[in-house]
Amino acid sequence: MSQANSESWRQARRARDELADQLLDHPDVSLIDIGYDPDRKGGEATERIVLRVHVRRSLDREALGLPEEIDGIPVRVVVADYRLE
Amino acid sequence: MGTVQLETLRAACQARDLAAAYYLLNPRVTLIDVGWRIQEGEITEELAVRFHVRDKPTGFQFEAFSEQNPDLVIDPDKIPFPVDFPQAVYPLHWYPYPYRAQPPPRGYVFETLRGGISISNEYGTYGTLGGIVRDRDTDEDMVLSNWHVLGGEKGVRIYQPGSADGGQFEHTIAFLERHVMDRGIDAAVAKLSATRPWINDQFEVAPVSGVVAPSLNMRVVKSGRGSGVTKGVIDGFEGEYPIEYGGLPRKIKHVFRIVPVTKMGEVSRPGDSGSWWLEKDSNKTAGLHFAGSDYPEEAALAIAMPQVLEALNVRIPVTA
Repeated sequence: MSQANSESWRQARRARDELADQLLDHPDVSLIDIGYDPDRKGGEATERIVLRVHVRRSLDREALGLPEEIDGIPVRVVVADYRLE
Repeated sequence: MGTVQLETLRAACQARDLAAAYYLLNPRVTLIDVGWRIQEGEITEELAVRFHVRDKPTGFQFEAFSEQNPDLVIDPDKIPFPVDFPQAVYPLHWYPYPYRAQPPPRGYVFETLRGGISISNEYGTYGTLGGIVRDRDTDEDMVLSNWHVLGGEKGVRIYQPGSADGGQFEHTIAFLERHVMDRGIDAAVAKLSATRPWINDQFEVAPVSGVVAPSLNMRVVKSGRGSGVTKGVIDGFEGEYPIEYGGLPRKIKHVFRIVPVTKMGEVSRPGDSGSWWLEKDSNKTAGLHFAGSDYPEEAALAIAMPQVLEALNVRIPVTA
């Protein structure tokens, strides 16, 4: 995914839209975006691109009904509650 | 209220000093002073050394208390003056209304307007003046910040500094013109009233040199009312953020996330809303800050600036 307009980016946006349609009204969901994988391999950050569902509190992904991936793009959970500043 | 002979007052003060020497460190005591004795809630005309105490057991409760806590009992026979025991606790009043904490430097009046300083509508808050923009149709100069900083009816007064930083009617610099919350963008512009000059600058950073689309791994910097100058790196974009607006659940679109460059770094605080994130190397503006999180990890959210400018139908006058 080196080019923002590449087919893989369009695919990622479609997957994000799908997730947003399913989950953005969930009261525990604070953001859905495309970004770096929060799961670190051996303590090191990776540049792998994933779909990220940010939640206000720690939740099992089963509680949200999250798939492991959409169209081959991994889906990760990030715990973060964002307030207007 | 009675009068007091000078000799009596002097004796009372000497007795008060003795009482303080004996009992001021007693944890039951909240104050020792000289004043009128209080009986059954009424002020008498009898002067007394007064031990203000947190608790005041009486009868058999006092006997039990005395047995269990002999060190906390105050012996009136040690004081050569009538004594009284009003019950009272005096908590410190750190920020009693309408007292305001002294604002930081960005919360003062700026004779020349620029990005990174305090601003708000007239309703009692503060955020950040993001920067100056120009209407694409009329060429009128405007300030750009978040809707939740400037918001209200068209024509609402905009103060610099923000009203929670002491901004008042005479600090009016602009009037709300339009917003784009209904298009999923927390942004608004207010038409400048020509009361103060402005420059293209982000306080303590640099002038804005243009606009750039945010991208992953972009290093960014911002200047805001809440946390001053902070730096970060974009680790996510194309985000959608749920929010209630107009009584309906909606979403803020084109959101990107900024995290600190260093592990313990800070990217934002309350009061930064409206500030502009600039690409660090080029000083082009990439986004409009609107939200943040400090637990369990520090992160800031901003809205992609190209979409903000397009929706508001404004441009950045970089040569001004």
